[in-house]
Amino acid sequence: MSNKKTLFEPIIHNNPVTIQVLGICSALAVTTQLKPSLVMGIAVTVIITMSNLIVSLIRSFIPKKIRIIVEMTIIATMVILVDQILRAYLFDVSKQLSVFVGLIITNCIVLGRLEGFALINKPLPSILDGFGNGIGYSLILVAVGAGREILGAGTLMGYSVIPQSLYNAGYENNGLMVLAPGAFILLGLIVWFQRAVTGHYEEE
Amino acid sequence: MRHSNLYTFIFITIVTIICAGLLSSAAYLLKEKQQTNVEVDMKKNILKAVKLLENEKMSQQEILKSYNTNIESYVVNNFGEIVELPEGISVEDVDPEKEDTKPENERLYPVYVKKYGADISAYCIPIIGKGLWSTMYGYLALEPDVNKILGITFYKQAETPGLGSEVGSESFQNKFIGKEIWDKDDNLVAIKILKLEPESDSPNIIHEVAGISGATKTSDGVMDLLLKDLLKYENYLRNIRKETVRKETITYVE
Repeated sequence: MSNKKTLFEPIIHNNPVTIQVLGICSALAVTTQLKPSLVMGIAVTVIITMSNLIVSLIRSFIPKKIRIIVEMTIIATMVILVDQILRAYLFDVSKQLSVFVGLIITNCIVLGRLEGFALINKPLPSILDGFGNGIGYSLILVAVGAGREILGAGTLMGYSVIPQSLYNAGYENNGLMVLAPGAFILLGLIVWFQRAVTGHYEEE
Repeated sequence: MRHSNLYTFIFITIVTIICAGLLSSAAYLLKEKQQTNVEVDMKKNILKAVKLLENEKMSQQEILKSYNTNIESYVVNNFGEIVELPEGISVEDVDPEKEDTKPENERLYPVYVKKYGADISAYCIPIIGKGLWSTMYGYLALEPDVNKILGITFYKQAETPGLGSEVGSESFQNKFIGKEIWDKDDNLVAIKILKLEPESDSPNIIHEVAGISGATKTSDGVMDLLLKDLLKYENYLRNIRKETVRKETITYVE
């Protein structure tokens, strides 16, 4: 597979969230607003890229029977490192994401990429694969986050975007969008739209 | 390729040592910066509660300077008397959470007072309590009459992002401004957090605010912790109220 394909395929055609249906839990939990979705996307992208690189570098030394433990150790180290750095340099953002940064450890996409790609590929393609998957995940998060914030709260990045005249005319924010079902509905619509355009369907 | 047990053992030991070393050195190197962030954040939130924070972009130095010039802090005991702290311990070091584990008569309660010249223009106390997932930490500032709320902030909480975490938002906190904590019979009351906007003709509107939709448990937590923490300061607040009344009477006679 060419490097370009490795990088771009997970963004649309093999998107980790909408096609592989991984990382759904965090895609539901942090997407009530755009800002946490964005920071979560960046954090996950950095963590997948770094762990992919490290695992790829030591791939031939990892004993097969304990590979999952080794992978988890590396992911956990990266996650705590990112959390510590956020606390020191982006204190406000780290307060907003609170427990969800720590929960990246359990994000299936990260372990999935290590198992499925970094263990059998060279460092450069592994970096590209991690970065591509991170961006693919972030795109969906940002789309869902933006949709939920606009429909649920009438704001975007905290600024109001729905004109007051519309509210005066009887428009109301949709409270359902702020709750978990709102994320399921938007995510479902995105999956439907994407598969309708790309023609992808699950094999029986 | 199959590896021997010894190889596996050595390999995982090396990985663990490298990871542990990396994390402990990161924690060590970043500790000072993280602690400063926490300290400045605490002072910033006290300033915010007493309405001294000019804008969110104030630098760390400006925050510390404003805090040092405008805020005076001391601790009171369960009977509402001001207590001297042993040397080397500052009021900011008193951890309200730890105090809660001591016997009632030994507890110390920090008070942050906003000075305006010689006059006091606000009283500020820490508020702590459980929400849905996390313990929420904040400050409550009262007007000099210790009845009307001047401001409330939450600076640390891990409630559901976008729902419960809205307790940290200004729009929610502003709803508390001007609400009263004493009822007609001179008892401390909880500020009730309703599901909807309080009705404008409600007799209790001075004790009511609208909650956050989708975050009932967090709202209930805020309601409980406000009353619980105000009750800790009840004796102290009553003393101030008595004094304010006396002062007012004297002015009246003059």
